[in-house]
Amino acid sequence: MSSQKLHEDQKYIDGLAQNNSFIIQTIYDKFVPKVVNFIKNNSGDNDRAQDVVQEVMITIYDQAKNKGLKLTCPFDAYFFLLCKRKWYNELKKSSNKEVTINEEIVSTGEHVQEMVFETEVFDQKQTLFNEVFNKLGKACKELLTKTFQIKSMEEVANALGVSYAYARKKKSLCIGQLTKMAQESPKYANIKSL
Amino acid sequence: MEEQNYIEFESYLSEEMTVEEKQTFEQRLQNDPELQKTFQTYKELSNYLENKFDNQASSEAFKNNLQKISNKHFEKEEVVDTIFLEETEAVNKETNRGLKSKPLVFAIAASLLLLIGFTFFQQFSSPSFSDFNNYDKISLTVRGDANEMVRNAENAFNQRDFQNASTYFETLVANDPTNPEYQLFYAISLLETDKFESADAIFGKIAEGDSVYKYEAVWYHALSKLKQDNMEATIWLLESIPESSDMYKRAQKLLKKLD
Repeated sequence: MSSQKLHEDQKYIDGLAQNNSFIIQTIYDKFVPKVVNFIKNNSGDNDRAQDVVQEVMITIYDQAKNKGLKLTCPFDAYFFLLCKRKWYNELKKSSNKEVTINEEIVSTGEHVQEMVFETEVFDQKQTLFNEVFNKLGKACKELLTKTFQIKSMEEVANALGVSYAYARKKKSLCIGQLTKMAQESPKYANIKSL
Repeated sequence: MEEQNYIEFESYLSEEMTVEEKQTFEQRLQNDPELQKTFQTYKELSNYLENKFDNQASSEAFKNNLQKISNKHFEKEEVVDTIFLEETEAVNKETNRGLKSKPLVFAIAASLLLLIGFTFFQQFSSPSFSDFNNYDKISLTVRGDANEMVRNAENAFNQRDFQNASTYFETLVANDPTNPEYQLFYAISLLETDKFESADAIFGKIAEGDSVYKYEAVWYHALSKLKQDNMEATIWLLESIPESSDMYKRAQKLLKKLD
């Protein structure tokens, strides 16, 4: 991925990561109407379109922040395909009936597919990790929260009134617990690159 | 064994292993795909936690901002001016958390502040009411809000049809007497249609309360007096805006001009 050339539309990714209102507004003006049209033409409405768009934007934001997302294809195609696939999945979830989507012929380059795939994998992982973290026991949750907020293990140990060695060991065991829970989740098997 | 693995993962990731320990560990990973996989997941989770807690505040800010822009867009509002949004952010940061759950209130408060901000920068030799009554577009409807009265009021106000706006806002205030934003826009509409007595009474009432519009109300009350050529009252009202208020600088600026 890193060998590929960064697309000039990276500015949209950077703008999202920086919470730049002007860029966010531009995305809404330039790219969102197409998504809304698509969703409305495929058994959706304005409200659902608004949600899908927002969820996709948050995923892109998270990926940009956490993984330094590098865009190697046009933003338009990338964003549209993400929204479209998200909507498609929602339809599948909400109806048992066969879903027919008025498939548009969009030529999507290999880069686009690859980028979309990466983002979807990232999104699935975030969802899974959020889920297991929420299920974690109270003691572990507290220790991990403190650990990652305070940074210094010495201070964490002090704050919790335990020894440094104990805090360190506890941290690894708590993340270990998360690891196990994640691996045992049925979702885990569906995430291809874990 | 499992526990020991996790402990080793942690020392490896926090770079606390000796060179030999590190080599042994990497060797083990290479020979054991299962362990490799578990290590990968551990590492990703560690990464996830780090980001989760590092970016919590900025992530919240992003989501709030996104929601606002999204709502605007889907309400088919006019394209929002960037300055307006930045102003909203600034206000958001400055003000206490209790109000964060009311982005709409903020948007309106911010747009009022912006309006006042604009007028503040305007240079004028002898200040008059007309220097101050270029209102920003207001937005009272929330997503899914089907209330036609609210929409009518908003439209009339934005089109500077203050006669109708005051009628609509009168109904809204009657239905929801505790809503200070309706009151404020009602009073401004009254002021615009020269119904000074009613307008001033409402400004006075808002100023006695504790809403975010408290000092905006005092400001407009002062403008109302300015429009009525009652300089003494204008000055008196402007002087009553405390230094801690966002309106203070504007009030002081106008006071200087009135001297």
